Amino acid sequence: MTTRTSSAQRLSIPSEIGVLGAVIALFIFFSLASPFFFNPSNLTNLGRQTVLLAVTAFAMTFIILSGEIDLSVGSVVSLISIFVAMALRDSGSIALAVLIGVGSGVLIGTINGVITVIGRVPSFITTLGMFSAARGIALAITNAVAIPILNDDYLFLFQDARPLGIAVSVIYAVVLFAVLHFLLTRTRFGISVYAVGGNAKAARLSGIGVRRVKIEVFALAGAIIGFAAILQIARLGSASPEVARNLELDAIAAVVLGGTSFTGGRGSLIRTVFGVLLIGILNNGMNLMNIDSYFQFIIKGAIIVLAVLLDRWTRGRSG
Amino acid sequence: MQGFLDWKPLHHSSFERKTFMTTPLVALERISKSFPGVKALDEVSFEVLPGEVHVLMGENGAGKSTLMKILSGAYQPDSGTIYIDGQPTAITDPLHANQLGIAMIYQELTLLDNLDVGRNVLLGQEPTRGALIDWRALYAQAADTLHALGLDIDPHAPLDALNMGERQMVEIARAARRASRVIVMDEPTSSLTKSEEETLFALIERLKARGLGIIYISHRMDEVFRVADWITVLRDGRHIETRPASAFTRPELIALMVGREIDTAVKRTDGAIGQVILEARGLRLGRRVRDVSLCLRAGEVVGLAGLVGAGRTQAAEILFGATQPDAGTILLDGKPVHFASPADAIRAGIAYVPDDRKGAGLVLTLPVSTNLILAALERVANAGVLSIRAIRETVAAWTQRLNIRAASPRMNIELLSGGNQQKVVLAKWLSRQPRVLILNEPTRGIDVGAKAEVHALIREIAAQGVAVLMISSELPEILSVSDRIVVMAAGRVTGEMPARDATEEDVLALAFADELIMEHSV
Repeated sequence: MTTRTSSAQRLSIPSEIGVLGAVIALFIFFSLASPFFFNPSNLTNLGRQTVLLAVTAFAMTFIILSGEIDLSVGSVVSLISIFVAMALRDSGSIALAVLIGVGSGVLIGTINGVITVIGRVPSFITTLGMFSAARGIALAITNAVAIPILNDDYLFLFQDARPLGIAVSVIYAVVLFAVLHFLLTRTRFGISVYAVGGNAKAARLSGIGVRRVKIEVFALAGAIIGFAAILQIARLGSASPEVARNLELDAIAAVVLGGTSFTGGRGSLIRTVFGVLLIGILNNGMNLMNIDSYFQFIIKGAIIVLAVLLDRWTRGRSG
Repeated sequence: MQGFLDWKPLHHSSFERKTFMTTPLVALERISKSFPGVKALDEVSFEVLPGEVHVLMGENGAGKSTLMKILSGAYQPDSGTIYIDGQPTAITDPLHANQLGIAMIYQELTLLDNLDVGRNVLLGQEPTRGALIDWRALYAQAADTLHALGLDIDPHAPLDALNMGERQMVEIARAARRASRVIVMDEPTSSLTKSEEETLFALIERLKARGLGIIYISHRMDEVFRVADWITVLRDGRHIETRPASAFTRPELIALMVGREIDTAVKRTDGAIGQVILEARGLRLGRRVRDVSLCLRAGEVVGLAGLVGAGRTQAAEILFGATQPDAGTILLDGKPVHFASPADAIRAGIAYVPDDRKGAGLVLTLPVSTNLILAALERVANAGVLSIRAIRETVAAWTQRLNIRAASPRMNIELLSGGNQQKVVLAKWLSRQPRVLILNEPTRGIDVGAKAEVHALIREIAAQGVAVLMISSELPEILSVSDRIVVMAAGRVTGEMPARDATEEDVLALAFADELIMEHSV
């Protein structure tokens, strides 16, 4: 389903093509520029590096489509990763650890949603508070000391397994994408998310429970964030209250880079995948080319703004 | 150099204006203005003299607002001349109008809630000492302004401590400070009580005594005859008549405002009118809805007429569960019901097409097909999963049935014309097969052809046994499409009548009937 107006759409070309073009161009550029980029071990590494951003950006896509924002994502990932690591350490049960990860995500998301929707606090403020509080709780309960993950089964299940030679975390991300894409495009809930974000008043007058949908979006995003935390500690081998700083900003950048409207109602998960790939390939390629990390920040910032500027220009004429 | 001796009277009626003696403060001569598809003003002339209240009257859409927007510099005329003190002047923008001593007071107040009275009165004109605001001088000047107008309001009072009437007075004080020539008041009493109106009229007398000209726009007859020195009537963008207020009678004024030929092209189908489906008793909501009772019967189109601000939209939103009333009962099939949200009303078989198509009827970020199914998602879904086939079939059936001209159902709704957008909103509700259909200004802003199609559709829906409530500010539409007409004024139902024998004058008399009610109730 194409959900926005563009000159490309009038010509029946999906408007995602533009972002996809940039991803391919960047991929080809780094393949030529660095001898280390296009080989199986680097591509596996690229996939693993990008999974956390991808899963987080999926959650952010739902939030932004519904017309809200979530600044607490990075802090919540670090807090939930502590919960999961403690559950794993104390019970040894992977099932319980996963349940706690996803469950606490739903709980935190619901708190964000209820304060925003019922309490009528702008989500920017609600999640700014959660951003600070979640990180604080994570630091307090660990005393700022990381918890190592010593459960080999857990590490195998979420990091080391390579079915068909593909990193297992990448497979989780792909399956999650498929499920969420279906949810967003083929269910009443998904259509309601677009309607609520596009025009809350019209949605309400059409019989859609606007407040309920928004709280559900926050809860769903929380569950996805919980899953991101589960993957994250398996990759790092420990749960630290210091990880995932600025993750929310990268996730927002990926969503917007994909072309999803920052004001809600227009966009898709496919676009977000392209935005994530753009950032992921850029990070990986610049590292391989030994570009100074200060310059990496500058280049990334410039590309994000330029890409959105370009998108506005090409869309501007069709209104 | 053009002085007042060159000035010629603009109106060739039997009533000569005193323009031989006095140069008008502002004169608009043969002003024309067109918008795509509409000639909003056609060679309209209008002027205001020092110390006079000149009332501008006309139905909604007669061209009053357009004329005032030209005077305030918000629009540029296509042709015609504006004279300020007899000098031809181009008013380039609202700031320029302000500099020329012309101030506007709109229906919606433009005060800043977070500031106090004094800062509002002198907003943008704060006295300074060096680079800093001279607060003492500011409050002293504000107090002077308020005092000169006979207003007993503390300049230090925070604005949110004032009631609507006091806010209106502060708004006028602010305008009076700036205006050296003309103040335009657009429906200034719409939010005032009777006693606040008296304060306003006293204030107007003081402004007149200071030699200002006042252009006063109002629909309320009693008020018009009370304040007017002269009255000008506009109709369909044309100047109709200018006379001293004493030379008009009330019925004459109404007849001049309506004037046009009555369009009865719509075919009434005369299906059988059945049982009462939805009934409202004694609805109240703040000051907007004071007492509304009405009943809607199967197969009948009820036209709800009234002036803008009569409370019709609020009443409709209460029936649809979008707004909760302070008091009153809604009965469905004779049983009391409570609609806590539109979702409740929709489940009960009620549909509502709002007047604000883009702001409330459609989700502009979504394609035609999604907009069309948005009110009936549960009908195209199975356990929450949408059936692509059911959606395609529904969309195809209704685009064909209502003749919706869209290149593709997947195209963005923004790209459709107003008429086709409105048909999508109608299809969205008709696809639910509602028992009660509430339409708010169903043909606003759509072209003549689409309008005729919508009118025919409304009759067809009623013939199938749906109870229809149609709010409209267009009298010909009310008269031609309805079976029965209910008229509201100032939040009350002031009367109802069969549409067959009704005339525009009958409806207008009831729409202007609020003064009578006010006198009995206040």
